[in-house]
Amino acid sequence: MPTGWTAHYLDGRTATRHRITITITPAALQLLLSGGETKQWPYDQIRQTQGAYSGEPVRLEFGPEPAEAVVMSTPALLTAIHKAAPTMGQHFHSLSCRKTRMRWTLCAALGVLCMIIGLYRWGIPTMAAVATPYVPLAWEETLGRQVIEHLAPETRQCHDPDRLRKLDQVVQALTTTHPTSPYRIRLSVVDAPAINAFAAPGGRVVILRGLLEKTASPEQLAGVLAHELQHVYQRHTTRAILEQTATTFLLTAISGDLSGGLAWGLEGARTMGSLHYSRTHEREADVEGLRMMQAARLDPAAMIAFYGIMQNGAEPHAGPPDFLSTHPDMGERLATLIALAGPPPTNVVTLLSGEDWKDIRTLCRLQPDSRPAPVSLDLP
Amino acid sequence: MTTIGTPADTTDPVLKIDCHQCHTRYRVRHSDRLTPSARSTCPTCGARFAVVSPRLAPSKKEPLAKAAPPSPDHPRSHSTGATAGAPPTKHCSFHGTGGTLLGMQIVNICLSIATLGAYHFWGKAKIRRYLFSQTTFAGDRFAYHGTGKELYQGFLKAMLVFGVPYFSLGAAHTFLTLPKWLDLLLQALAGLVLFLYVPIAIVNARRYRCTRTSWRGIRFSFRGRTQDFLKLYFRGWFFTVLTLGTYYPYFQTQRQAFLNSHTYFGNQRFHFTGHGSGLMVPFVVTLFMTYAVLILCGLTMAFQLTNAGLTLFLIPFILGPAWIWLLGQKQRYFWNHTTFGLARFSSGITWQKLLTLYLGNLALLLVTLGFAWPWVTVRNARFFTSTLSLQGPTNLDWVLQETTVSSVTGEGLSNLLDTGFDMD
Repeated sequence: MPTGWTAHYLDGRTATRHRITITITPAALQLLLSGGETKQWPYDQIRQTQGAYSGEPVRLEFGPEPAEAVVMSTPALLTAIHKAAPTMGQHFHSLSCRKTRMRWTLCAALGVLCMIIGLYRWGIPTMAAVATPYVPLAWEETLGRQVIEHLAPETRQCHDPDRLRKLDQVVQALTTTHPTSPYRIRLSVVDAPAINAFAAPGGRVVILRGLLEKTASPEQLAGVLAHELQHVYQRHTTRAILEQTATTFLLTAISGDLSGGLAWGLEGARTMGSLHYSRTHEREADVEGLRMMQAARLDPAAMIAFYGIMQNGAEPHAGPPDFLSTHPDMGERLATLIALAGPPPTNVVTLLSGEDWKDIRTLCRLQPDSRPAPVSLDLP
Repeated sequence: MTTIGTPADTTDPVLKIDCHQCHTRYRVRHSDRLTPSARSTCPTCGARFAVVSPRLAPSKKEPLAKAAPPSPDHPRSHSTGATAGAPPTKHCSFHGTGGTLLGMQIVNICLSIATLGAYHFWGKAKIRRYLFSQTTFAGDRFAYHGTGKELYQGFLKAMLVFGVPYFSLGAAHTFLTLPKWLDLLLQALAGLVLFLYVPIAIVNARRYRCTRTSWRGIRFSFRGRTQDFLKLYFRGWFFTVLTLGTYYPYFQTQRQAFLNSHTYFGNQRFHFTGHGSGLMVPFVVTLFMTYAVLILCGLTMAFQLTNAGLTLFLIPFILGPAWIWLLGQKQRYFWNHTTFGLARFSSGITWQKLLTLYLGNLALLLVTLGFAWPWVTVRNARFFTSTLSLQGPTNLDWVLQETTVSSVTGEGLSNLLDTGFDMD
């Protein structure tokens, strides 16, 4: 081992680089400057700020800022300090740590993978489900009002008090199964040919004329409404917002300093996460909607029948693949519902008379639209 | 507090020094014995002296004061370095590796998730320390002295000062039922907060980063006043809009002049000698090409010509290289007009090299789904450092430390927009 190590000394006051000789003693580094001056740096007062990575010079700092520093191109100095002062010098980087660091990095990579999968699959949905009850209903109602103003403005709604009252009977039959619910459900019908319905947060449910005309019976309509009402009762919009926020935070934590080119990739990952959570919510709305039908003593077969109509009406392989869709595959949804429905109930309730049902379906006929109704795979 | 002795009269063969504290003058009996690290104290007031250079005044044989930085239009050859007899050219280089950076990033992600994101700032400081320590100038490495705690505090302050007002104003309509005019007013105020935020973030982030960066133990500093930059920024945008973009090169040059000329290395200042007219030609050419291509695309689409959609390919294939060319011109112009003492920076950036760099980065990111990010960072750092040099006489040994205090809020502001580390 050499007795003297050549290094550069920076005094912290000038940019002059002084060539010095370092001697390692058991208690301190001894610096011999070119002018003959010597300095003692006790190991416990030295900070190592560079030299922990391969190819990096070792930089040792001493004293308050602006600190004095010693820079040495070889890390062998550290090994010598460890040998000379194993206790006092243990805070200096050890070259043997580099192999261990590689192992720890691989463990960290595995840990990251496990944490991401865990958070994505279970962590984020659980956190959202726990936090959702603490979100005030008033906020949901405000948000719902804005959604309705945007997607179903008053000018596009069908206003016929008598027919809407009859339609409300269908809603009432379902909502009586949730007597303690704080939501006041309000149903609106929009004059649009698409076969669709949606629930806005805060208790607003919107059905489109196309859907009203496509459903063959009030029970089939009730099936669709049960699904939408479950979106309201399960607070899926609030959960979706919380899940999306948590996913953004997760991706921000992962991405760190990444930017630019990766922004697209991150946005893609966020969208995929949203779609995954959306499909989970749809499955839940299907299952809970069917249970709602059963609780309201309505025949779940009507709900299943309408889903069948939707499946038959859609062009095969016309939609996006399952993992890119907001809704699960219709076949899968039907299979789940059929499995849950069980044998036909005996004491079913009839919702509306045939005449009332015919009357309701002409709710928007004052503004007929001759365009063919588009059939969406995502419906209801 | 250390008082640095300075030569009282450089023409006097007998060396004298003044104490800055008590103003007592002393004669140095054996000036030939002075060494760079010699120290003493003032016998009158006890103030400490430190010798900063064995030769306290420039020799008459080296009339540095009469020299001038080399002209930016005729820089010495970047690749060949110094010519015979001329002061050596000082080069930059980057020595980091993508593999090390990837390992650091993996550990950072792991700890960030485990600490619900809190570690992000410590991880960021660690990455920055690595990047700086791998960058050399004239053979010496830079050092980054910022800490994760400072970045975290800065982020919290920035959130309080800008984040909360901005998000509250912007999202008020989601929580409250407001009349249309009030909603519009709040949105406008949110826009104003954002507009104010950008220049304040730029100038204060630079202030923070400079004070946390050192080379050969001497800290950098930025001493520009925020309000002066705000005036420059607002005036710049006002005239840019008023002149339909023509003023933009002048605005950009003034912005760079402000940032560069208020930056110090120790007690020595950087200077900027550029003028907006120097960028006018490249800017006008690029702007003209942009308008021409967009009008062509618009016309073919409007008249529904055959294969009109194909003209859209002109945007990435013509406008992409055009704007990269402008970026290369801009960066080269800015660096070539930045001086330090009697030396001038020189940039060897060309649009071909820049285009190759960006295309390579894009391909790397696309092929690896973004996992090549550390290698992209290394490629960028290597590119910018390899094209940069300092030409002309510089006696860096004369630079003295000057400590300044800087708030970390600016860095936090920068974090909010993720402006990142740039080489402008």
